[in-house]
Formats: sequence, structure tokens, C-alpha cells
Amino acid sequence: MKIWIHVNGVQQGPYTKEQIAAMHLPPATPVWYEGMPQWMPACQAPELSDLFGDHIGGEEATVIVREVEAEAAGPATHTVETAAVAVEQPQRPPTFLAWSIILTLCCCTPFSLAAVVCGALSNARYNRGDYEGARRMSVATEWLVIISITLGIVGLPLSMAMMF
Amino acid sequence: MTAVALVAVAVLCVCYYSVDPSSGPAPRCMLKLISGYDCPGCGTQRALHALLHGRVAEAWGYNPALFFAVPLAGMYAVVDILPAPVGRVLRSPVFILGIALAIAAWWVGRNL
Repeated sequence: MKIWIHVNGVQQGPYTKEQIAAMHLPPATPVWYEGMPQWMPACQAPELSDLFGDHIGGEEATVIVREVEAEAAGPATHTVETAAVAVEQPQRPPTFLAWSIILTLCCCTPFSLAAVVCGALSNARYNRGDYEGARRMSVATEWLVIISITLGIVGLPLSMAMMF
Repeated sequence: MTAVALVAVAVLCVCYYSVDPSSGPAPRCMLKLISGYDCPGCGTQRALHALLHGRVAEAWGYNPALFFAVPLAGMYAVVDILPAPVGRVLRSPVFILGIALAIAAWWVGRNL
């Protein structure tokens, strides 16, 4: 089976189902293969249900696919020459993990541990296709990192003063 | 700018040769001062000091977490240019939650 996908506004393919499985695409990725009446979120495509079956694409996925359809003018134009179609799949928001792991070592605050957990939640939301939720969690992570650094900088002279 | 850098290097040299963080005037962990318990990062400063003086075993004794955290943080810093399979593991929420659990376990475990 040949499968075409839309990633970051660019149509790619054809891929085999095995290749699709290895790519670990977000479930909202628009896909099309022969026999499908229209582009669909990967998680709703019948042939791919065993790959994405445990995900629920939700409204966002449907909206994305509708945009693809509008611009791709039907599934018949699935050649490589097809103009790039804008698909709303934003960049993965930062998780600041390098920061939070190092801060766990040097600032002695539980905030950096919370930042690690928030980073995990942000990635989990992104993988689910909840891009807005992922972005908000990323902002929360950023604040936890800022708080950790601030406490570390304030605590440094304070701790030295308490020794005397 | 050059002057600032030179002063910074000079201060670091003085610290390196004359200050021993296990006894001298070095910053202390606020969490330890407040709670009395070791935090996951306690010992990092002494471990770094020992490591910079070539005493690896002593550094491990002060805070073994340093030996895992620094390479891990380094990998996360360059995760975008790592091979895709490695990036996928590093970005997987389960793996990151595993890191959080490991930190929490180390925090509790070292105080038992």
C-alpha cells in the first residue's frame, strides 16, 4: 500500500505502512492512500487504525485536514509536483530539559524537578496533537526554570552569609 | 569585556587552588540549610572540585548523580542534531518522567 502524508506543509510519499509505523507521526498528520475518498487524520484512517488506534484525533485534526483538502483540491493531485500545502503543525515547543536537569544539581530547588515533569507533559501533549496545550505547558516549564535560577542566585550569597 | 574575563579567570584560579568547598568559604545548599536533608544536588560542588583535581573516585562519593546528569543535559542541549531514533527516545514523555522519578528516588534514597 502506498501512503502519502503532509508534514510541515509539504506533501511526502509514497511510503509503505511499515515506514509510516517507523516514523511515529503525530496522530493528526493528514494522510491519503488509494481508495480513500479524501485526506484524513492518520488516527482516523481505517488502514492505519492499528498504528494510531489508541489516539483520538479530535476536532483539531479534522480542521487541519479540511484545510489540506481545500488547498490540495481533492486526492487526485497526489503527485510529487503538487504545490506545498500549508498544514498547521507547529514546531515542538521547547522543554528546557538541559536547563532543568543541570538546575537540579546546582540550585537545590524542587522547582527544577517540577520543570522536568512539565517538560514530559508538554511533549506528551504535542505527541497527542494538542499543540496549544503543549505550548502552554512549555511556558509553565520556562517559568519554573526561571524561578529555579532566581532562587539559586538569591540563595548563593544568602547561604554564604548564614555560615558566619 | 576582556578585563571582566581576566578577573573571572583569576577568581576561578584562586578558588581552584586555595578553596576547598568541603571546608572553606563556599556557597551552601539552601534546601539543606532549611530542611537538614541532602537534596539531589548536594555534593555537586565538592564533586566538581575533586573532579577538577583528578580525584574521580572521591567525586563519585560526593555526588554520583553528577556523572549521569551532565551527559544527559548535554544530550538534551543538542537533541535537535542527534540521530532521529535517539531524539525520539529523549523526547518520549515516558523517558522524561523516568528521569524525574530517578531524581526523586535519589533525593529520598540518599537520606535514608
